[in-house]
Amino acid sequence: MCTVTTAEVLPDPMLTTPMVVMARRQETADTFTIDLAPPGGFPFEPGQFTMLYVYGVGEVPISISGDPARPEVLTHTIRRAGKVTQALAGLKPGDSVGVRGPYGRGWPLEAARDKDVVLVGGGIGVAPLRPALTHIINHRADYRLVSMAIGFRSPKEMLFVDEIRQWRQHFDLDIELTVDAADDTWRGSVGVVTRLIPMLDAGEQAVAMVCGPGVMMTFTARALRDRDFQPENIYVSLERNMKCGIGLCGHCQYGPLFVCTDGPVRQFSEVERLFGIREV
Amino acid sequence: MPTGDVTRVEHPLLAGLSDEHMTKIAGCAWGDRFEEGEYLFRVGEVANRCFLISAGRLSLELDGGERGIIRIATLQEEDVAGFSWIFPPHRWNWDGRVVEPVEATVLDGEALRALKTKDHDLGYELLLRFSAVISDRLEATRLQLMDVYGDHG
Repeated sequence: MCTVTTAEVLPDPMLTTPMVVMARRQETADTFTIDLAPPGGFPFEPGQFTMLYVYGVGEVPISISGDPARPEVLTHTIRRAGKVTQALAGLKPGDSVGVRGPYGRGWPLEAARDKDVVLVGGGIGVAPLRPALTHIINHRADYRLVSMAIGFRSPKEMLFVDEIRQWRQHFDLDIELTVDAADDTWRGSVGVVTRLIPMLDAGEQAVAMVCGPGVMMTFTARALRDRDFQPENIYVSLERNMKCGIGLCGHCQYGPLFVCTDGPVRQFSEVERLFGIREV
Repeated sequence: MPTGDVTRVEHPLLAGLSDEHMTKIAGCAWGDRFEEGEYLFRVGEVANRCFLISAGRLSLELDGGERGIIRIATLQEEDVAGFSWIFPPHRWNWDGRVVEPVEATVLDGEALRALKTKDHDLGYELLLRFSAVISDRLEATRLQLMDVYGDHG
């Protein structure tokens, strides 16, 4: 008779861990944040993602948007865009969701130590940068000048409004905010996020972390290059449809990369060529 | 910036200009400050000024009737407000309203037009620099038109 001991059984990477929804906050008309309670904690690196499974509906990859120093809370900020995210939007505190992960390569916070750091986020792309900025705030002495440019479609579509206000009160952070369109009740900046880049404090060898729609990241990288950022110091977070999250199925293949395991964060110099190829 | 005549214009638009050209431009420039709510220019008016902003925020906007005020862009430190003085019919196409008190070097557009006609080298330098401003503004507007944060799924 063949027996298998517990020690020989590897955990199935496709199995989800059930987690209870602790809190849900509506950020905008179509975007919400949920806090999950991971049993035993959920350590992660800023920039990583999880696969969230709504039982009986399906699974989606979502970037973690919470505080990496608080592994007892797993936070995701989600935009309602399809069947699964629609179902996630309907979750209430006490409901349960399946979680796999964390997966992927996060932001280069170790490589950025003792350097100036520039974060550039657009729309829902601000969510994956939030853990990076939170980490930097928690370890402020490890970094030099820190600035962030944030762009949204309109004032109504701004995420993390209260938190951005708090970030702007830090004397050692330069947080610039703009919207693409506004009426005259908005007193802030109007224009695309790339127009903020010349205003940011950053010297030689600064590290940039960029997240947003592909077009926005391309133009942001160009604006950073105009400011003499080294191409290898510009990092972007890639987005593709994912299925397995562990580099097996090939759903998220992007040229020679599997975004789930080789990304989502990559140096722009590695993917710049791919951004220009329609067939990829 | 103190209000009044200037001997040298400190603004990225004019960086690297020769002393001779700088002196000529300073001759048709002055420093000024504009308070919140003040209009630097109104749509349809004669465009005979250019504003090299050193502080504050200026809104480029239009009255959209029932839609209310449509704010298309804001300009701030190191930006240039106004290139309608270059091209006929020299009319403003937007309202320029101060959102946060603006400090700027104001250039007299009529005097600049006369200068660039008399001194083609200076005219070339100015057109090159203003073309870059127009190009940047065009690219930003194209990006706005793309509505990159919209739900296009």
